[in-house]
Order: sequence, then C-alpha cells, then structure tokens
Amino acid sequence: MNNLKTAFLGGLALALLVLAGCAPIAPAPTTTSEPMPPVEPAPSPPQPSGPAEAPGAIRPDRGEEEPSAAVESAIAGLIAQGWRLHSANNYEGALGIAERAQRIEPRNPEVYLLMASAQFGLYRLDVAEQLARRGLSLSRSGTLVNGQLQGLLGRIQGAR
Amino acid sequence: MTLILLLIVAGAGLVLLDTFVRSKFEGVKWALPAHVYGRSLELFQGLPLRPEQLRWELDQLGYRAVSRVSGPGQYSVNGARMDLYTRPFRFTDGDEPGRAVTLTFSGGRVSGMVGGGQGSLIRLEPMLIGGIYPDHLEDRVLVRFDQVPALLTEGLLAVEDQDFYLHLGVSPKSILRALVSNIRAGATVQGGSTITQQLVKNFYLNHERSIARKAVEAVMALLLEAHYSKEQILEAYLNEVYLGQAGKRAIHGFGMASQHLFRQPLRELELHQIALMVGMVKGASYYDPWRNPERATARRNLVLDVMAGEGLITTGVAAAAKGRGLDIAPQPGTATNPYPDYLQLVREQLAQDYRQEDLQSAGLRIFTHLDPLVQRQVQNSVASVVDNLEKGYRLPDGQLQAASLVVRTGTADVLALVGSRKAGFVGFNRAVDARRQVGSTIKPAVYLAALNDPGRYTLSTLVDDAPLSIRSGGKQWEPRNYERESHGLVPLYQALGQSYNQATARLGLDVGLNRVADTIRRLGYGGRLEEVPSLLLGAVAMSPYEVAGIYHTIAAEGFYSPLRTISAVYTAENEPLKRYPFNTEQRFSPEVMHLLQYGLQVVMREGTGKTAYRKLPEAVTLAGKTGTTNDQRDSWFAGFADNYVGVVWIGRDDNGKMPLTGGTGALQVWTDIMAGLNVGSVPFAKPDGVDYQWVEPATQSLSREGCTGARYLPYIRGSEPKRHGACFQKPGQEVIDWFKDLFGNEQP
Repeated sequence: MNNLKTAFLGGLALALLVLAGCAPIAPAPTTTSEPMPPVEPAPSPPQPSGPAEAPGAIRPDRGEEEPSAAVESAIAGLIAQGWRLHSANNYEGALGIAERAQRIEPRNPEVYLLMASAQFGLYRLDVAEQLARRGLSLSRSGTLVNGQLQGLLGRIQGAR
Repeated sequence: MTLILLLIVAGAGLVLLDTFVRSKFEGVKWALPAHVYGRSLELFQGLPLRPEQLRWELDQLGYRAVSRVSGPGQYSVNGARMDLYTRPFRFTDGDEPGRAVTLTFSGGRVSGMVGGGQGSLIRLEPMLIGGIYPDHLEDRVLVRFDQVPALLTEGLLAVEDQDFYLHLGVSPKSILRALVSNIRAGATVQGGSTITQQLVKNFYLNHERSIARKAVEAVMALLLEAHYSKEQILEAYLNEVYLGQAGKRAIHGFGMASQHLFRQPLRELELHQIALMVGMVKGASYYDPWRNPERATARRNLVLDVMAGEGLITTGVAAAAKGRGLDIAPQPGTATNPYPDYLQLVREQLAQDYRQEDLQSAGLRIFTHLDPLVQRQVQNSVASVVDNLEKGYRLPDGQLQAASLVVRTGTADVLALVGSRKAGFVGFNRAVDARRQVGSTIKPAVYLAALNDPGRYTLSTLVDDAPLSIRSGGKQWEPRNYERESHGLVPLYQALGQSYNQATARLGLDVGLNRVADTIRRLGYGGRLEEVPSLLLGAVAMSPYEVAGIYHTIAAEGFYSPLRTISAVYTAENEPLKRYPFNTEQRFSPEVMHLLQYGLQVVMREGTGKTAYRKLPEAVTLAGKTGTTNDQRDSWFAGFADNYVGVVWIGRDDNGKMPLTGGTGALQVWTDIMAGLNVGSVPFAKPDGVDYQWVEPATQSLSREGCTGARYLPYIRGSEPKRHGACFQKPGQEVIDWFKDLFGNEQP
C-alpha cells in the first residue's frame, strides 16, 4: 500500500512540475492602490526548526580545482622536457626540471610521477616510494596518472 | 769582486721576483666570494602577479624602463600592458636566451603573454641577494677580456695609458712627462705609471710611496710583460682595479662595478655609463657619483672628451653622452646583504657541506629559494603592523619584537624570513634562533593525536571543558581557559576552534602524553620534548622556523619535508657541485589531516582566528591556529592559505608581558602578509576515505541539513555516528514527506 502511495505521489509531483513548466508567464506586477487579497501560503517542504548551520559552513572543494589551460600548457612543456631527460637516463636533469614544475604547481601529481620515476632510476627506492605516495595523495582514483603512480609504486616495492 | 757579488745578488733577487710574479699570476689570482641568488621568477599566463610587483622585481634586477624596448634588460609599460626583453642567463638546468615578450595583466594576474619564442614559460634571471665574502671583503665578478665592451678598454687606455701596446711595462716617456709636471707643480700631480705598473702595485704590492718600491714595481712590470700577453695583463687589470665601496665591502673590477653602479651587466652599458666607470679609476671615492655627483659628472665628461680626442667617438656622440644624466642606480645596487636573516640560515646550512674558506674564496654560485616579492611583503607587514600595534596599545617605541617566515606548501621552500621587525639589519635572528613557548600553537598536535584514533575520536566527539587539577612534577597543574569560563561538553572541532585549554588538556591526557609527544615529533619537530601535562598547552620552546616545519606537514596533508633554503650550488665555472633535492615522507594519512585541517578552518571561520576575515575576503578558505603564552608573553600565529604556510611571532626580548594575544597580535601581521600576497583558498579536496555527514554533536547522532544543531562534518569512513537523531532523514525522503504533509499523513 505504501509503495502504491509513494508511486502515486511521485507521479503527481512529476505532473505538477510539467504543468508548472507549461504555465504562461505571469504578467509583470502593476502598482495598484487596491489591497491584495491575503494569500494562503502553499505547503512547502519541511524547513529546519532551528537556525541553519553556524556561519562559514565548511565544505570540501568540489573536485580538484583545475589549473588554467595556460598553466597546464606551461607545466606540460616542462614535464615533457623532464621525461626526455629521463629517457636519456639523465635522472638528475629530470629531477631539476620536475622541481621547477613543482614550484609552479606543487599539487600536480604528474610532477611527482616524474620525480619518483627519476629517483627510482637513481635507485633511491625510499625517496622514490615517498614521492609516489605524495603523487597518489594528490591524484583522484581512476585517473591515468593515479594508475601510473600505483604501477610505479608496485615496481618500487618489487625492487626491494 | 764586489761587482760580481752584487750581480749575483741582483740575479738571485730577479729570479725570486720572477718566480713570485709568475706564481701569483698563474695561480688563483683572487679569493672570489660566493654569490647567493634568490629564486628566478617564472612568467606564464595565469600567474598571480600584479604589474607593480613585476616592475619592482625588474627595477631590482636593473632593468631599464624605456619608451620603446630594443634590447635585453629593458621594459616599457603602457597601461595594463608591458613589453619586456629578458636577459640571457645561464641557469642550473641550461642557458636561457634573452626574449622579447608582451605581457598583459588583469585581476591581479598575468592574463596574456605573447612572444618569447617557443614555450609558454619565461624565466627572469635570479636576483643577487648577497654573498659570502673573503676576510678582506673584496667583491668582484670576473669578466673575460672578450666580454668587456671594446669602448671600455679603449677608453681606459686612452685615459690611463695611451702607449699600453707600445711599451714593455714601463714608459719612460710617461715618467718624464709626469716628472716635469710634478716639478712644475711642486707636488705630485700626475702619475707616470702604466697600466701594467698599476696592476703590479694593486695586485702584488702595497700603496707605499718610496723610490725602492717604485723600482721593484718597475722591475716586476717588466717581468710581467716578458711572460704574458698584453691581453692577459689588461684582463687582470679590468678585474683587479678598485672602483668603489658598498659599506665594508670593496668593489673591485668592472664586472662588479657595473652591478654596483648601475645594477646592469657590462654588456648593457651605454657610452655615458662606461665613461663614468673609466673616470672613477682615478679615484673611486673622490668621484663617488652618489656622494659627489657634480665631480663625477665633470670627470665623466673629461673622459668623453679624451675619447673624442683620440678618435674613439665623434665629438657629436661625446656631446650627446655629456648631455645624459649619470644614470646610476638609486642606491648602490649590490648592497652587501639586504636579507641578512635569510642569508644567515643559508650560511648555516652551507656550513654543513662546505669549508668556510671555500665559501669565501672559491667563487661558488649558490641558488636559493628566497622570493624577493614575498620577502618584501613579509618585511613590510612585520614593520608596519608591529608599529601600529605599539601605537594602538600605547607601548613604548621598540618594545615589541617580531619574527616571521613564509614557506611554499608542498615544496617546503623557505620563500621569506625575517628575524626582527627591522629587516635588513644584521642582528639576532629570532626566526631561527629565538626559542619561545608556543602556547596554543601546539594544540593541533593534541587533536591530531586524538583524531588519528578514529575508533575513539572524531571531530564531533564530546570532550569536557570543565576545570581540572592534577599533580605534575611535585606541583599542582590547574589549567584554565583564557576567559576563565567553562563550556561543559563541547565537540572536538569547537574545542580546537575556540582554543579551550581545559578541554584540550583533558583530551590530551586521555590520548596520552607520549602519543601527543610522538605526534609533535612526527610533524617534524626535532628538539627535546618533556612529556609533562603542560606540554599539551604549548609549554615547549620552539623557534618560528620549527613551528613552520610542523605546520608545513599539516598543510601538506601529512607529508613531512625538511624546510629548504638552498636549491643548488654551482662552481664559479657553472659546474654543478651539489643539488638539494626535494624530499618527503608520509607521516600521517591524508584522511586524518583532512579532519585536522577542517578544525583549523573552524579556528578561522568561527574561532580565535576569525578577525583575519576583516582584511581577507570571506570566499578565501584559511586554516591556522593562534597561540598565546602565560601572561601574554608571546603572541603566535601559524597558518596557511593558498600555497603559503606562514608563521608569525611577536614578543619582547626581555620576555616581558604584552597586552597582545595570538589573535590581536601575530594574526594581524599574518593577515596583512596574506592579503598582500593576494592569496587564494587552501586546497581542501576530500580524500577517498573521508565521508561528510550532517550530525548533531550534542546527541552524537546523524541529522540533516538545516536541523537544529546540525553540522556538516568530515569523518574517516566508518567512524561517523551510527545513531539516527530526531531530525535525521534518509536521502530522498524529504520530497515524500512534503507530499505527506500536502495530502495528510496516513496513520499506521
């Protein structure tokens, strides 16, 4: 019985919403000396009985704040340069470039992937592992860089 | 026989002199100071930077404001647009050529960047921020002969030694000419020394005036000429000659003189500037252009006349150059040490890796993380706000002291550091060396120790804020709240936000002193900790630098990194000697740090830090903690915004009482710093293992948005209250309830 009622009420709500959407636009109010008839307030959804939460309701960021395309482009250029040095086994050079990128965008997980990979190349496993963990803490699960960091972390741990 | 003996002695003397001349000339000629550089400013679209900030940096670097940019080291401003031609520089990771670029600004950011060749990133050369000098305090930047503008060498020879390429080190013609002039004048009015003799005098001998010294000088000049080319001798002279004084520091050589006088590299100098430097060779103090501008101008014009007379320039060009101002920097451009507190820290860290004599003589190039723009802001804020506090509270002038530092979150780079309210003066570096009790600044460690055990504590866990009295160290310890009131049962976030001492002490004792002490250590504090109850309320002495290390770990979501001032050290030949790479270590989970950061945001929104929003926009998320010690002897604030961690301490050197709390004192400086840096919000992304819930802390139950006492709080997954409060609703239930209200409720 309850399910039936719920379905009925839901359907009614949908119908009301559609009707509201199709209703003609109300004319602009005009000034009049005639008093307006009192209007019975329509029932509204339940309101809190007390005051709202204390000022400054603290909430987490809505997802990661994406840097501007221009900053992305600047960082991407540096990271690409770092990976070229990494490919040439110039790990110290790659670290230098990664740190330059880190100064511009210290919360970019790609930076830590490059750093951790370079330190792994230098066989500094503890340092590499911690950098990979930092990168993971800054990346969202399911992203490419998160997967790459997970993979790298596995390789670092496997190399011990 | 006597003649033979004399010849033998003279011959031996000549051999000895020859050995002396050659060994010094071929060895390391000069003890070269280490030069310390700040960070290099990276320019890119989107960079938070106001045009006046960039102009200040460019002025400090000696860039010239011109109407039309035509070469490196110049810029022109037209409204919100700036044309800039950067200088080439050899960075630690490669050479960067000079680039012409047009920047536009809006909303406190670089909104556009056009030109500059490939790439969307441009670097300015780092600012020279000081040096580590030899004991004799000579400072020089070596230049090669081929790096020196031809007009400079030609002008120098025209004025000082016209026969340089003709004589063998000594010029009888010049001596004769000088002799005649001096006899006529009855005094020494003209010197007959060649460039080679001047070099010998400055490089090998002293300034004694005697016939014997003059004779030795002449012989050594001949020997020098016999062994070395004219170019080698001239190059040594260009680097040796004394050209001014910057405080105690002696400026030698044209390379450093160019920086000192004009803040420009030699290659950028124009004719009128070159002529001034050539003129100063005759007497750097006498012709000091800051102290004696008219005398210096007259001398410069004389040099220009000589150059025209020798055909090096036309009379028209000389006349045009004579019409120019001196064009020197507003003050000597290479102040010995404009940031002594920061440099002291750099020196201490270098001392762990290098010998003092190497630092003073090997010409090392030391690259640091000092950000001159941030440093300027911190210096200004500390000076102005502390002045205002003294005036506002009618304290005696100079009674308050202060220290502050700013660290970049995530990289742990120390961007700015001041050890006293009057920055720029060498003295006691309170930012590093003053250890003062930290008071409530330590409380986040107590709450972190608790929250790290989510089975027992969450942000909504109630703690009793009742007075307590316990026996500790043979004494009764009875902490009281600042306002001498108790607040009953309060949730953790509120106890932290309002900095309740009684609740914090009870919480810390419940968690365990050893666990709190361990937490402080894991946050990065390396000093000694006494595990006594008063530790919970900050009865531990730390420096602002140490407090910054702790708060950096909090801001970096539980990743500890040692604070860094130095990025790399290079040899004088630009070979890498040592890098100081970034290092980090995870000490706490991102989940627990998210909870703690929430608590520190409560401090700023609702608690003891909320006055920060009088100066900073409401939209900006801040996190931090005030600290006040017993009898208000120390006023602390440590907090973070955007990518900056900042710590401020205010107190008296005699440890006397003040009328300031952490909120009314140090926080005001911190806020001024952050406002000046135009900060954005603290990044506050929710980690995967954290869920937000509407809860009613008073009943320890789940609630819903808008209900009385409801609060939206983060929980480490699984630690949220399980009980449903009276106002709790399942998600989606409210629409159904609305229709129930509309059509009447069916009674079961």
